[in-house]
Amino acid sequence: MSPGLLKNTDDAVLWNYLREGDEEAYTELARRYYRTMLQYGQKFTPNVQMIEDAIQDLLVHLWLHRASLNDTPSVKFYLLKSFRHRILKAIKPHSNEVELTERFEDLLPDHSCEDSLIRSENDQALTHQVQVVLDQLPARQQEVIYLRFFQNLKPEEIAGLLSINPQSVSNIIQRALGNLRELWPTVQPYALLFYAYCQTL
Amino acid sequence: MHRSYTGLLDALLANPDFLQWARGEKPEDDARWDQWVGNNPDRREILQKARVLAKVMEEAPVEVSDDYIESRIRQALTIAKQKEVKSSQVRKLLPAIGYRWAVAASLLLAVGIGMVIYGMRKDNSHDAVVLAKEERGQAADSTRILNMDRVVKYVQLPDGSSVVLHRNSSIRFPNRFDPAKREVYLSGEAFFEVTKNPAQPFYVYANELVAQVHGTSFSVKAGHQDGQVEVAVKTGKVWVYTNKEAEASRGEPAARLILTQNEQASFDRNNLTLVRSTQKSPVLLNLVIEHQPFAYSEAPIGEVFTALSKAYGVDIEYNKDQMANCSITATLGDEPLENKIKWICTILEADYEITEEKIHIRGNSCL
Repeated sequence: MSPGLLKNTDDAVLWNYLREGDEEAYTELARRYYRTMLQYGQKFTPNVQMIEDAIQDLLVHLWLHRASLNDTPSVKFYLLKSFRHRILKAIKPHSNEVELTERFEDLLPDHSCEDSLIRSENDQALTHQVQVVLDQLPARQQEVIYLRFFQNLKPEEIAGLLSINPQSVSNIIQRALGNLRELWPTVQPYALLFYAYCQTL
Repeated sequence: MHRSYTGLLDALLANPDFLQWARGEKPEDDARWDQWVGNNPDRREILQKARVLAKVMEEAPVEVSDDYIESRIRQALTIAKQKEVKSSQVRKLLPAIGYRWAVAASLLLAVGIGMVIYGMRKDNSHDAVVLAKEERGQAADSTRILNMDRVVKYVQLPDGSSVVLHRNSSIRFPNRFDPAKREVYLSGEAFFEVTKNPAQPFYVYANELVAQVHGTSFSVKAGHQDGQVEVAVKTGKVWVYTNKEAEASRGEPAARLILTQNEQASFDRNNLTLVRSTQKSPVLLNLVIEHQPFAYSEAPIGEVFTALSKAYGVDIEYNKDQMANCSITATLGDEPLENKIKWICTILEADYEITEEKIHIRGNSCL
């Protein structure tokens, strides 16, 4: 396959090539989702080395087990699920996921004043405020919101990824969006004050 | 109200048209969204918030270059290939997809009562053959496993192949296979799943019969009261010939039967000849494992382990409480047991250990 053709080939088609041992299909799929995984990983840990190691493990695994891969309706889903497993394991090898999910919250990077300054310079005060509000949501809600809207996964896919039922996913989305509404930054002066404070540092 | 608010917001944020518009990529849709809002203040609020959220979600500062990603992918591929060379066991074997390595050879070979009696009568000559081989140094250090009491007993061969040994059966194999071939000696009845290795063909000697695996999947059934031995091939190709023929010809026996998918042959002990059978459907043994495709769709892991435990006659111990919520979707097919276990553990990120009596699995919760 030529590089141009590769770029326009569906995930599912590439997946099937990969299963037959096609290196180019493998590389193209990895290329498509490398950044996605890197970004998703940052929801769990600020340690980029750890995230990259987890991605590499996953990619190595993918090639080694290509022949036994099942047909998958969504490559992205498969990769995110597999990656999630790995990164959680890497963060705390011998704990179960309940504990890890709680850590999800703690491990989110803070939005520093430096960030704020950059953002305010870009005149994105509100965007930033909303980001702050998003970061205040419970960990589970944050992750579901991230998967649903940042990664555009379907509720059923999220359910599969988190091993919960689809109805729970819908409920979590409803709750998260409800919370978001309540916490919505309406008080602009606060934002301005915050930026003023940052400017003084 | 609350519900419809979140419902609408959810719908908007999942709508590609809306997202494009919110990011300023589709200014021509301004009127369309204006119209959607109409005079509805709730919709106005939702649209505004969705628009901000869309912008928040768009921001994905992942600061790595394409070149860096390329190099990381190449690195992963290189590591994977090195590992592949090192370990033949990671070769995944799935016949369905026709991959070069993806063919597990499984051999079902059984020698029933009639043959056992006959074999006892002919014991001297049989042993002579085995001894002759041992004298040639091909099985200096060997293991013999006898199953007297269990319905089936699992035996793992040095190359990772599986043997499911029936009651009153025994198998002998070298502790280390000859680099050029893998030879096992069976007395009684057993089911084989053989890891594929073209450089090291796999032979089963069962009294006067030799079955040679050719990287394929097949079954052999032997042992009727009338002294017949029947060989039935499920998939792929297998050679069947007599010990006598094997002794007479070094290398490729001239008088052999090559059986392919759904073919069957009989071994007439009285005339010591092999005859291709015209029967359409192969005669297969009535073994649990024989009929089991090991195909699972979101099956609870306990169910999977129970099935494997039963089919192979091996105890599987795992942390039940922790892994209670784990399930798998997979087709384990004709893989040797260890590959099946390895695959399950890969899916579940669990660790395993195979000892003589048990398989121990430790995994995490899948909640």
